[in-house]
Amino acid sequence: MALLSLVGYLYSVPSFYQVPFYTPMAVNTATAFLTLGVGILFARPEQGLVALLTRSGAAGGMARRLFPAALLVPLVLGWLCWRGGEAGYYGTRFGTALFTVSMMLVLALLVWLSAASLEKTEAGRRRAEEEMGLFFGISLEMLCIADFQGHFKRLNPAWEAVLGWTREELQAKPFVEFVHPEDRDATMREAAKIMTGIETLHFENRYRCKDGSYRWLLWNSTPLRERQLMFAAARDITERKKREEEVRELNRQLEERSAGLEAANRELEAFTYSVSHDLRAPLRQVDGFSRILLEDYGPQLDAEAQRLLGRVRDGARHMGELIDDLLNLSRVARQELNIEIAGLNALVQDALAALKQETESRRIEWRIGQLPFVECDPALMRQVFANLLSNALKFTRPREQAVIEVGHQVQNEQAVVYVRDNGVGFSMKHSDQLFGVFQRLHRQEDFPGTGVGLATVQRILAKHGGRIWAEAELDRGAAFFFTTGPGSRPAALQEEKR
Amino acid sequence: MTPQHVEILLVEDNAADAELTLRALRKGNLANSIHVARDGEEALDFLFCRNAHTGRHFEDAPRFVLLDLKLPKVDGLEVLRRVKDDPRTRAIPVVILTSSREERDLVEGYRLGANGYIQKPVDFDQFREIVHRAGLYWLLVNVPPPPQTFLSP
Repeated sequence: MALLSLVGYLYSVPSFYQVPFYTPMAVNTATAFLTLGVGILFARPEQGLVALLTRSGAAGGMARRLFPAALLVPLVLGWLCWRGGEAGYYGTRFGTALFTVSMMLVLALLVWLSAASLEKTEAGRRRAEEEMGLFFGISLEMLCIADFQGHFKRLNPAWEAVLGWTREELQAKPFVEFVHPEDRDATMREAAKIMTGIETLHFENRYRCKDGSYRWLLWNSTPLRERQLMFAAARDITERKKREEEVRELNRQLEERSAGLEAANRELEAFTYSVSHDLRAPLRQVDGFSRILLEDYGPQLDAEAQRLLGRVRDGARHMGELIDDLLNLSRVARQELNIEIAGLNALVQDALAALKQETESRRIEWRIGQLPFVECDPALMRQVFANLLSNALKFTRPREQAVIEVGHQVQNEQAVVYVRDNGVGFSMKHSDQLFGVFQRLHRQEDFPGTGVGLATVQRILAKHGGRIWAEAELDRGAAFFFTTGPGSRPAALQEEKR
Repeated sequence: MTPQHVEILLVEDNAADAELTLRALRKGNLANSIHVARDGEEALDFLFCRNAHTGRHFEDAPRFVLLDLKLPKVDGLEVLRRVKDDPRTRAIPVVILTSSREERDLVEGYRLGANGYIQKPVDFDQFREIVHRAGLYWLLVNVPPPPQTFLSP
């Protein structure tokens, strides 16, 4: 009504603004009513006629372009034609014809422009769709759209490549039927969650392949609730799962093995304990009763009987030493290292003090050089020197003048300590037997021993991360070289600088 | 009848070892009376004056106990624990006499309150010497706890 009145004022047509049954409307009133009406329409832009106008995209754009034109073009052209006639440029019929022709031209132009713009928009959309379609086709990930009833609506070719089913086969049944029975509940729960509008990330389940095997899939899904659809991308993670399973299996085996080792260790400890306790008692009895026999019945025994009893006692004593040395060896193997920085010279002096009984009555030339400070377990390292020096003393016994040398040299930035003697030596032929338990290169009568000492030394050095080797020549002496592991490095370098 | 006063309680399951120890202790007539218990239970019966030893009195405690660790029924460390747990027996000197030199035995023994730890050497001469010296010390050098020490407080 307001629009009618305004046009009436513009064209000076009183019947437009003096509608019968109503009082005439003033210009300002009509403007106010029009503004109010338009305002009411635009107050709810998402509803009714205006919705199309305000929508983004091709349709909204076109409506926005055409709407003002549809209102303004007839208004302006009509007014111009009317005013032209009034001014006497042309007659009424000419004016009407001119209005019609110009309307036709302007409207045709508008239609053409709109069609061209629509065409452009649609071409863009087709291109985008084409591009998405190409991606959908070549994607290595499995992409799909499923409805809320649980059927696949659209699947990309990756599905066929991974599972072996054709897309028709996959779409024929609810998707849950392809899921591993054990994973179905979880899958349904997840699908229900998606349908409520929650997107899901990193969900895993197993899908059955056409060949009956199962493949692990990793899912990201998101719902489109307006259309009751789920969009999902899945990745075949079977290989990864297999590797994870392998790692788990290896871990389990490792745990089992270490448990076995622990059990074996405990058993060994129990065994050692029992050896320590049970084997000594009978030995003491052999020794004790033969001694008592000798004491109580000595006078009745002839020299040969006494000699034989002496043999019995020697045997018992030797076995006692063997047990002690073996126990010591196993203790060394079990013991944890107490690493400190220790001066090797002090340890050598300690070891020598303990060997005093052996050294006192002999002519020995000691050549003890400056030794480095190293990181080691001092108690065990002292034992290394005690064993090596006691060996050196033992095998130089036939020498009038024994020469025993302790020193060190630096090799590959590591301190190599050596103990050298001028004793009876040995043939390098047998050097591989040197560090074995119970391995001896000399006869018991010549050089008594248990064959455990060097094995113990090697065990101690190995525990430190070091090693030992020997150089010798039969009847020309022997030399033992050893490193004390990584701990010897800084001290050795420091030694070098001095 | 009053049971004869026992100076040394030897707890040892091995008859041969017991004989060797007795021989070593008797050398030089150190001890007149030594009682041998053949397992942990017998030792506890003796020390706690019960069962076969009901006639004994706590204040009549032995001068010292020589205790082997590996024993049938109740083992040596358990015997030690019970003796040192009870105020009536706590003051009795207990010396562990064993073939074992395992560190855990030493640690556990001393933790439970052992008064000494002797490792039996394999060599009989050494063994005899060591046991004799221990006897000398506990019987002649050491001043024993007076009888009221053993009465319940």
